[in-house]
Amino acid sequence: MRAFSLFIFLFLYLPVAVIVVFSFNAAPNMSAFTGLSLRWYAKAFSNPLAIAALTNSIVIALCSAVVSTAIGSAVAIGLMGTSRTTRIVVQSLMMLGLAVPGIVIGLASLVFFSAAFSGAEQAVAMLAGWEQAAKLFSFGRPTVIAAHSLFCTALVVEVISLRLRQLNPSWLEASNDLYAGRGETLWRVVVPFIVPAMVAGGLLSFVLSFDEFIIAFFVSGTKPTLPVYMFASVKRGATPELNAIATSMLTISILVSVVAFSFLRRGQARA
Amino acid sequence: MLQPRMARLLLLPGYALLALTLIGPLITTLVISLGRRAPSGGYETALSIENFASVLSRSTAFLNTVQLSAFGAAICILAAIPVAFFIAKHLKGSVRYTVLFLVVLPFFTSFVARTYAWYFALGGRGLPAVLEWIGLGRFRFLNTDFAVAIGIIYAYLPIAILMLFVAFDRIGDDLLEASNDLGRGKVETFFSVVIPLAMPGLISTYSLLFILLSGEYLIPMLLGGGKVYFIGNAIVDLFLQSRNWPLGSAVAISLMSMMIVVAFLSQIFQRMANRDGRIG
Repeated sequence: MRAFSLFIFLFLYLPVAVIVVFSFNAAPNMSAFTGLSLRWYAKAFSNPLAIAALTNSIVIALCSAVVSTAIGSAVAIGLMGTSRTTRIVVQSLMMLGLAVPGIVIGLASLVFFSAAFSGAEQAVAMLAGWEQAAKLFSFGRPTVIAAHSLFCTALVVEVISLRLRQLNPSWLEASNDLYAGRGETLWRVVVPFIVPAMVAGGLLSFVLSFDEFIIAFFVSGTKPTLPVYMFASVKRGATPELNAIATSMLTISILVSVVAFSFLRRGQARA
Repeated sequence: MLQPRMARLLLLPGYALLALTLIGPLITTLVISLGRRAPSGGYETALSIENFASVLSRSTAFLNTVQLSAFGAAICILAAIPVAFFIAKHLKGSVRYTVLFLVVLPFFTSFVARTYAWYFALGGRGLPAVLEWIGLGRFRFLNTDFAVAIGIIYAYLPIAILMLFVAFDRIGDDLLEASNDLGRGKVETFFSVVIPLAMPGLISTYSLLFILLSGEYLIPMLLGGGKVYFIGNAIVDLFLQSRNWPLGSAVAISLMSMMIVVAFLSQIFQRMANRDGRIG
């Protein structure tokens, strides 16, 4: 069993290790390793299309993380004070947001936003008599951020609710006994208690949004995110430059996930 | 602690988000699936179930998806069982969580980058070149069912291990010791105690994997070269190439219905397994 587990580890990490190693390969063709070099990173990071996609991905991931941490924290706290029915409905809808496959969310967002956009454009054209209204809205960063915020928020709600379940009710009573109002208790007891979970949820949202492919593929319009750009490039064949881009993406997500999980564990250790 | 009015206020942005990104889009998809393709592509108002009849024309995609998802989920589970059991019952303390973290970590890294790693490894200059150099002959891996299966297992193994870890972790060590004391060997204990007790977890893991796999597009596209045709490929083609939105929506809704049936069956089987576990 130990040997088999080791084999599975190799299976999980070896292919990734191969592209990491070959991203530092000096040779122009990928058949042999001839020496260390950063030339493919230099090439990848001087490619304007790749840079535009990277910028796009970072902006989208940051916005999705901020939006979903804000909404997710509010929802998780709000769920503590609602009826059972509301709680079950909201929680099931959030779970649905996580469970519906990306391809369905992607196409559903595509048809919904294009219907909403053309409706809004017609309304503007009619009300303001403005001819140019037909190109008022288009797919791009905002549509990707909106679609990503759904599953990111669902994740944040889940992470923070888990943390809130560990909140000792006697602290709230103590706060009340010390003449703190409800608002003050919320702000000075509950919020500080969930901060590690908020940070972890935000960081995980960043990673999930940064790496997400299929939804962005549908709703990013003419501005691809990094995974979409990479997908389009891979279809033209593997190159050393792609190895460098893939390695950079893996590095970013691994670093952010490690920090996120350390926050999750810190939260648990203190409780 | 919270006033109801305050709670409602806090939930408001959540409702807005759900309406804008989940409920609105799903209802729009349902409406469009009942419509007609406009002559220039897109959607034209109509009310018919014609598109759902045409879904049958994509039955190869459905068959492919069901077969490879069922097979891939089974292999994932078989490979995950020993690893999850090893982590849950043989490792202790901080080593245990470090190993678990390392297993789950790939799941939080780019799907595209990880699939690309196999594209690279199975491509002309990867494994086939190595095998030819050894003298085993010429092989071709890319654009085959085999490559898609490998990609699927690779992508979803971490989540399978994590879910099975949770299932095995719940089984108390005392039960295993009791079984041992009663003279059962390790292998026998595993099959007569651990597996029946973990059965609900095994079923929920299998159905989740099946659902996740059947929504795949990226892996069949990159490693199957579009020759291994999944429902995901059919949906993307219908939307982004032939611009037949109504048929694409109908295919997507059929896919979701299939997933709901699987999730429902999984609930029933889990309940049955729970009952059996208690009697046995």
